[in-house]
Order: sequence, then C-alpha cells, then structure tokens
Amino acid sequence: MGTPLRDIIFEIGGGVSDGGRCKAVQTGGPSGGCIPEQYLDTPVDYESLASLGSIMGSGGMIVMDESSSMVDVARYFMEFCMSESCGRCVPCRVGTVHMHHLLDKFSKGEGTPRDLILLEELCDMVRNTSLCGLGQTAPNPVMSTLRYFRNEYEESFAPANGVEIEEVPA
Amino acid sequence: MKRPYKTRVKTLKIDGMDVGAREDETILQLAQENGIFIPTLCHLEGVSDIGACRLCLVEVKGSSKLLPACMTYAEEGMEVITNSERLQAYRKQVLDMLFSERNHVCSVCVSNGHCELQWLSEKLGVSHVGVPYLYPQLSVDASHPYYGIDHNRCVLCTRCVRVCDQIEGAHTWDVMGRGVNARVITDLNQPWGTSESCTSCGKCVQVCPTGALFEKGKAVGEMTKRREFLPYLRLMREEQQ
Repeated sequence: MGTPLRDIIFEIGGGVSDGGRCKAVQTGGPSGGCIPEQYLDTPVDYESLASLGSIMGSGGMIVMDESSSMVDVARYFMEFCMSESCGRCVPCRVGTVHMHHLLDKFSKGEGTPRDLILLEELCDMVRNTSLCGLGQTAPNPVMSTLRYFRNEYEESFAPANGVEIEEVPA
Repeated sequence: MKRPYKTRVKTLKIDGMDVGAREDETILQLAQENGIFIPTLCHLEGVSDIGACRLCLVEVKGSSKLLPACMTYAEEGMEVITNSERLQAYRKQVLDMLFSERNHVCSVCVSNGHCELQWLSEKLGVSHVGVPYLYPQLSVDASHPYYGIDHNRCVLCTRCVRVCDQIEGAHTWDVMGRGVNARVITDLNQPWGTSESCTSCGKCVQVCPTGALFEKGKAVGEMTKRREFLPYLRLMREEQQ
C-alpha cells in the first residue's frame, strides 16, 4: 500500500517483457480502469487510484505495452461483465450487451462519431442506474480508456478505414 | 384483529412538498398517497419489491447514488427529487433498453392498448429507440390448456414469479440463465402444460405487464389484465392473521 505503480511493475514485476514500452496498467480487474504510463508514479492506495478513474478492486494488475489496443482491452472487459451480469436489473442486463456491441464495432474499425456519443451515454446510464456493483462499475474500463486514449477510439472511426458513414446531427 | 401499534411519523420533503410518512412506508407509497407520479414496472402492489426495473429511481439529497423509490424507506429530514431532467433521461434510456432487448412490436401484440410498457413509453415520451434492436429468436410456449407465454414480449420483471410464489404459493415460475439470456421458466424448465405445480389459477397472466403471458383465444389488443384480485386477497389475508 502506497508503493508507486512504477516500482511494482518494473522492480517487483520485472518490467515489460521483450523490452517493450509500458503503455498502460489496468488495476482492479474488470471493474477497474486503465491508467496510462504518465501516471505510473502514483502510489497504490484507494484515493489515488480513484482520482485517476480506477479502483483498488481485487488488487490485480494487467500491464500493457504499445502493441495493445485500448479499444480491444475495453471490449474484453465488457465481454466479461456482459457474461457475468445476473440479468436482474435492466441497465446492466441490456446495457452491457449494447456497450459490448459498440466496442466490437470500434475494434473492427466500423465505429462512427454517433456510436461514440451513444457509448458515452450508455456508460453514464449503466453506471448510475444499475442495481449492484457489477453494473455500476462495468463502464469503468470504457470510461478510463475514453479519458486517456480517446484518440484510439477516434482513429477507429469508419472513414479512416474507407467505410462511408451517415452524417451526425448537431 | 390487527393489534393497534404506535406509529412514528417521519417528516420529509418530496419535490419540495412537506409530507408526513409512517416509518414503514416507502418513498413510492408516500409519493402515490400525495399524488406524485413515479413510473414503475416491476413493482406490484401486494407482492415483495425487487428494485429491478430501475424506473422508480429518485434522487435523495446527500446520497451520491440514485435510489429505487419502491425499496427506499422514508426517513426523517429526507429531501427527495422524483422527476429531475436527469432522472427523466435515465428512465427513457431504461425503456430504450427494454424495447431493444426483445420483440415489442405493439401492432401485433395481444396486449396492444393495455400494456404497461407501452403506456409508460407514451407517458415518458419515448419517441424512438436509440440503440440497435437485439431481437433474439425466442420461443412461445402454448402447451398450457388456458394460457400461453411469449418470451419475446417478456421484460423479466418477475411479477409472475413473485405472485406465484407469494400469493398462490405454488412457485411454478422461476428465472433460469443469466444476463441477457435469462428466461422465466415453469417448474424445471419444462413445457407449462406439463407442470405439476401449476394450479392454472392465472394470477401470473393477470399481473404480467406486457403481452408475454396471455389467455388463449385472445386476438390482437384483446388481452386486458384484471389485477383487482391482488389487493383484495392481500387485505383478506391480513385481516385473518
């Protein structure tokens, strides 16, 4: 507790394998958030991680190097939350499916600016209206990757990949 | 005879209005008594609440989380907001989720015009669904001699499960599966007509908010639900106890 992330990753953990550059670290499991490289000197405690949009959670960490796509990371964790949702409350049961569907579109390079707006709306709704902690924290990986790696979502917009899209109404 | 007991009165504010509540009263009951509308779907007068549909969420001053009015008890000094713009937007989104989850095409539904989901979306002003439809291919079970269930219309409010367990005492209905794959089932996921516990009382059909549970022989728009029995039954049983 209180040890900087960098010490845990590079000194205790031995750093990124194959000499790659650390891009981000996901703390707290599927309900946590991704913390980018520039914040690695943050001490690991409840308040500091929360201020970066992540959590202590299970205490687990996943370190990613430059080859990882943050959209894929968010999609992977959303898939987990979608299959773990019990189905009792509506926002988590259906919202996670829609968020996963949108993230899937982004990771295939078929996303649109409108999809990004919809994704953010869904994150907000699922986080604030779900019955239990699973649904309330399910959007965390999406929101933290949107906060620090928004460019990766925007780069995967359809026009960049030669797919025509409809106009977004103002 | 019910034993007379002392009632402690709580005073609180709902939408700026000063109201008094019994200590065993929920915000939803209190709002209804005072003529304040809070949308509900899974709530059913006479059976327990589960807070699953999230339509009755309200803002309570001092709480960072939105709380379901059906399961939140009135407390002294509470300040409740039932209809902020934020809540309205969330409620519409929750209805969006329900409409996109399964097939809710009103024009070909037995409960068209008598459906709570339809009524709520009109009342809350849902003009379109903002997310793509999932439309899974679900089955219809018509094996029961009098009733049928169309899983495509089910919103998983579990009213049928609760009324069957808590009022009829048969516990024929239950939920199987998880997440978006959850389904209501009869007995051990067998055809309704082969259920040994079902008493064919039809309570589940009458409390179903949509056209998921219906009486056989009803055409489009003919399935009106009769719920009057429920408060009556509950009252009679309370008096006997």
